[in-house]
Amino acid sequence: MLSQADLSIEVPRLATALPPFPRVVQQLLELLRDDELSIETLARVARNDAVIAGQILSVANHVRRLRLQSDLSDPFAAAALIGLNRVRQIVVSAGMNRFVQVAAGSTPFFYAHSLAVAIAAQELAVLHELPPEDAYIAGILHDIGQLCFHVLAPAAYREVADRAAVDGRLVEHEQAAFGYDHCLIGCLLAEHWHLPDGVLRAIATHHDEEAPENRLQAVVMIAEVLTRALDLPESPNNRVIHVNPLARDLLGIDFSSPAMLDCLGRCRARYRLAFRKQE
Amino acid sequence: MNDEQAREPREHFCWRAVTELQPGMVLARPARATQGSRATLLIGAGATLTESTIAQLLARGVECVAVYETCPDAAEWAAIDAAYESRLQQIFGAEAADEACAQLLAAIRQLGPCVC
Repeated sequence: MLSQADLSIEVPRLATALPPFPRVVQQLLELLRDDELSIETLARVARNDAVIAGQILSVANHVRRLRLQSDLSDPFAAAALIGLNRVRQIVVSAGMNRFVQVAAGSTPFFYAHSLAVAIAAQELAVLHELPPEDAYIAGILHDIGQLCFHVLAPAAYREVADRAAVDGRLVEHEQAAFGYDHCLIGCLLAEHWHLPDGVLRAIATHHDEEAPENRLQAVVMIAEVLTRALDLPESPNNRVIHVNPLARDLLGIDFSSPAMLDCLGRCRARYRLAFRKQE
Repeated sequence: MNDEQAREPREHFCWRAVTELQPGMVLARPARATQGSRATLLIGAGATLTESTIAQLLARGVECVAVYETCPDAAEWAAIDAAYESRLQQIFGAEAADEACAQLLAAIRQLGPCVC
């Protein structure tokens, strides 16, 4: 079993056990970082991905049909119609959903849970004026390190997972068995994929009990709890035994405020829709 | 409440994807789109949706909105409520573990079950 020191060196090899990270999402993040994002540049990036281009056309043609207009077939025209924000959302969600779904392979619950946290994180980010793309990516990747344990030591990790299913103490059991946990592996993978620092830190700290360093970290912490509270996906293992009050307070969350209740309603509806689309 | 009143469907609201919306639906909660701290669209509760407003919601990246819909009758609703409360007790325990959990439980309870 790898030591923590060897883990950093092995991450590129571990990454090859996963699908390639979606290039189109990396390109979007580069454009955002360099402040060079326009609808034209994003449409040029998106049209090279057939699934993403198809979704852009689908949304645009929904708008066209509402107006009794004929369908578009040009991704540039479609992107111009639905606007930059919508295209950004589609690029991130379609690109990341497909990546994690393929990576999850025969563990559909992993994908469902990751998707639920991504949706909740994005909704919380919008509510708190944080970058929604970073929140979605951090949310959907927050547990990606667990998939690497299945590669490194599948039998040992199944035992860890079985123990954690009883008492909910996954990180403690991972630390005891391997000397490190899925949060660290996930952070190292995100670094390997050149994701923003904020995303790295959010993945690394999502189980921490201390005060989060920034609001994106707090968003991912709270998002995971919200998905369990909302029973998304349904699981007999969904338990809420602790909410990090420091994360809650950093975001200034009042769970019973009208804005938070609306946020909870949207999380539930978006999750249902995401799975209905796949039927 | 007599039997006839109990059988009458009550109004409640459902969160619907914007792609599921039809003109004529009525917003139950405000619908807003933002870019950072800037609101780019705000449609108040009670507004009746038109093709134009649905197209605007789609274009500004709004994923879903709350619209009024008819809900099950009182008897069916009571059964749904009871099942929901039972599930919440399984998730949170007989008593919420701490103050923050108690706040979250109260909010999930207020949200109510999804019957959409």
